[in-house]
Amino acid sequence: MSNKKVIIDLTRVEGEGRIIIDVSSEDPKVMLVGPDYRAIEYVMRNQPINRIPLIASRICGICYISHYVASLKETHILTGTVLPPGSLATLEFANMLQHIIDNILHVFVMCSNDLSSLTKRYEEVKVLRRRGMKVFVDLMSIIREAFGSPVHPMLGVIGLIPKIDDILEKIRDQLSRAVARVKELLGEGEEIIMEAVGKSSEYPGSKGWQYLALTPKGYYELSEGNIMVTNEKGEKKEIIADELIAQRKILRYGYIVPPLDGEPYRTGPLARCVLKSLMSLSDIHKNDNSPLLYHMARYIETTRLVEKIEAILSEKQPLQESEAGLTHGVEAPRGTLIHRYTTQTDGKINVAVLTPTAINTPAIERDIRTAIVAQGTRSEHEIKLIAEIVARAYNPCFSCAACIININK
Amino acid sequence: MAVRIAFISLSSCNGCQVSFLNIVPWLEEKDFELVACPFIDKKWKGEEVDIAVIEGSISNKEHLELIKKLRSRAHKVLALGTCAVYGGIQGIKRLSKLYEDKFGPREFTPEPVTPRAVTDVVEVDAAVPRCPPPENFIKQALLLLSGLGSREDTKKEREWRFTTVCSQCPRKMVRIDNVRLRIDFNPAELDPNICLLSQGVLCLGPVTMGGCGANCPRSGLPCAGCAGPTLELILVRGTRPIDKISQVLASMSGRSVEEVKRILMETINAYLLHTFTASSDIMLKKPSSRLLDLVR
Repeated sequence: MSNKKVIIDLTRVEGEGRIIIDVSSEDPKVMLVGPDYRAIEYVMRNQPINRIPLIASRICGICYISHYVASLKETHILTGTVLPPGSLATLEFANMLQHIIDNILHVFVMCSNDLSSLTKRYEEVKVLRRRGMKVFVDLMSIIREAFGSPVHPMLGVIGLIPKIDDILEKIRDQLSRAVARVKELLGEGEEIIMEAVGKSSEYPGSKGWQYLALTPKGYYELSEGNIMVTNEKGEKKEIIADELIAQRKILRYGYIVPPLDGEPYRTGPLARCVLKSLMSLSDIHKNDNSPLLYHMARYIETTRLVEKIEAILSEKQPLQESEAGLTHGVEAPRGTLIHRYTTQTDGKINVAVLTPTAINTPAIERDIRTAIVAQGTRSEHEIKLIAEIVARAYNPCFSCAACIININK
Repeated sequence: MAVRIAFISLSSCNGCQVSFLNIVPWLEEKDFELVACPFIDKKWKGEEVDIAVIEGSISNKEHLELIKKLRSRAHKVLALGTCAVYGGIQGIKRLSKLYEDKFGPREFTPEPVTPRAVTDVVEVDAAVPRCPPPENFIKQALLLLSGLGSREDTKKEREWRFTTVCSQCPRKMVRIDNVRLRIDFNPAELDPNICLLSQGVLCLGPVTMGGCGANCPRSGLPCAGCAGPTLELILVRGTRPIDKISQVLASMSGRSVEEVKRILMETINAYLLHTFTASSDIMLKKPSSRLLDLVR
């Protein structure tokens, strides 16, 4: 190929995630950058504490609930606020809805072209995308009903979060119908998702991983828990959030300390499924550690969350009350998300946001390289297709890439 | 023939695009054709379109070039959301000169430019602020721009432009003499039925365009001004947010306007008062806004 560098703008969000692939040697070099710096952390730093979660949710217009919950949780820790009974359950419930909505949008809408490329079942995928879009709209209307707006809703303010029973009373019937539609969609999409994942050998992942996710603390598995890491041998260790936070932003990784002396972290649905034993490491090995397994993990996770919501609706397993945790971070659809705030001597709040995109960046780069080498391709079009399929298996949007850029100041 | 729409995303959180996705089934029903939209993997290839919908603000040279090319190929342009209309949160970079810093691997990233709102750079045919705009406002704007709208749609579209957040807020305004004025507060200590300004808390409701349903004050959080300024602030010379807020606070606390203004000038800054509109020429170039005096 004459061109030595292939530059790809991930088209879901133009220009916000850019992959540069240098194929001038046998061992391609891959670099994921976020070209658009939005200074969100700077804005948050200059706000009164009550307003910080509202600004935090503007980091991403797709995973806004997870950012809001992570930020609220951190402001509660900083102010020593203990939530009244039922309010913590609301945050967990909102985050569950966020995961279901995002997983559907991710697999059936944003990655529909990838499913088509992998399975060649163009017409069926088109139908699935249309259905996925309708289910997405249904679910968004539930967020609107429950929290006032489908995008950037108001979940509450420090210490004042509506109780779960009041929220459920408003949306019970609507939610029951939506859950039935989600199950129907998952049933219709299962075969195509599994067929796409069946192409794992064409999109192998590298060997040697550390899977990073929150491990459930009691009933709450998305908004509470300790950060756990497991390697490919199945050895587990708990780490505290501060071990992951760099003192200043590091080029292309934001505030996350990249595991330079160890294997890259994989976070997100696959890591959650591994750490909750919903997927086994041996199954992942059998599928060549492929990033396509992320789609399977999304399917498993969505099915599980839907069952959980059904149990809540039928009152077989009500969301239990619990004390507010003291651990930092929540699970966002793309992976572990940590907001860490500390007070400074001038009274301002120092803000560090560790996005899952930043945590996954070395993993995405390594997997793109592995897949390009495995397919032995050198045509620019093919390289772009591989890179897009791999990157989007992790993350189809790079809104929060705006947080992974370095400021030389 | 179907009305061809291209959705273009610039510097933003992409929440407007998610709000827009909610109307995709409606677009199909109404014979609109979505020829470009990043989330559904359709990239704009430079073809002519009937309506270009733009979310986000201008942050770099690529955005500038794209927006100018788009203006020349689109019959109508709709600036969607507060970032496109007023520059959004990232507009703060303009006040703090943060955009001048060197960041990222420059070899592969576009050159940053002064952050601007789309409306300040190209002529737009309609602007729908808010963070993000609700679906019904997007539908009304598209119907009007495509010529498919009815008189009723025009009326509805006009109505919300003349409202403030206060007009939809259920909290009762009462006078509480000499209430302590504050920016930070303990939400649990406030009366949930009384206006936040009455309780001395800085809320931007009176100076912010309505239509959002006042979700923030309803939930106990003062309005942060995410919908941008009211028409009065935009159109009337000599008006500025701090004067308007001071008047309301003074009338509800029994203090003089001058005293309230003095307290506010000492405690607030531009990042607080113009969080979502800091890079907008509308406020920056309005002589009376004195926005730059509040940068500290």
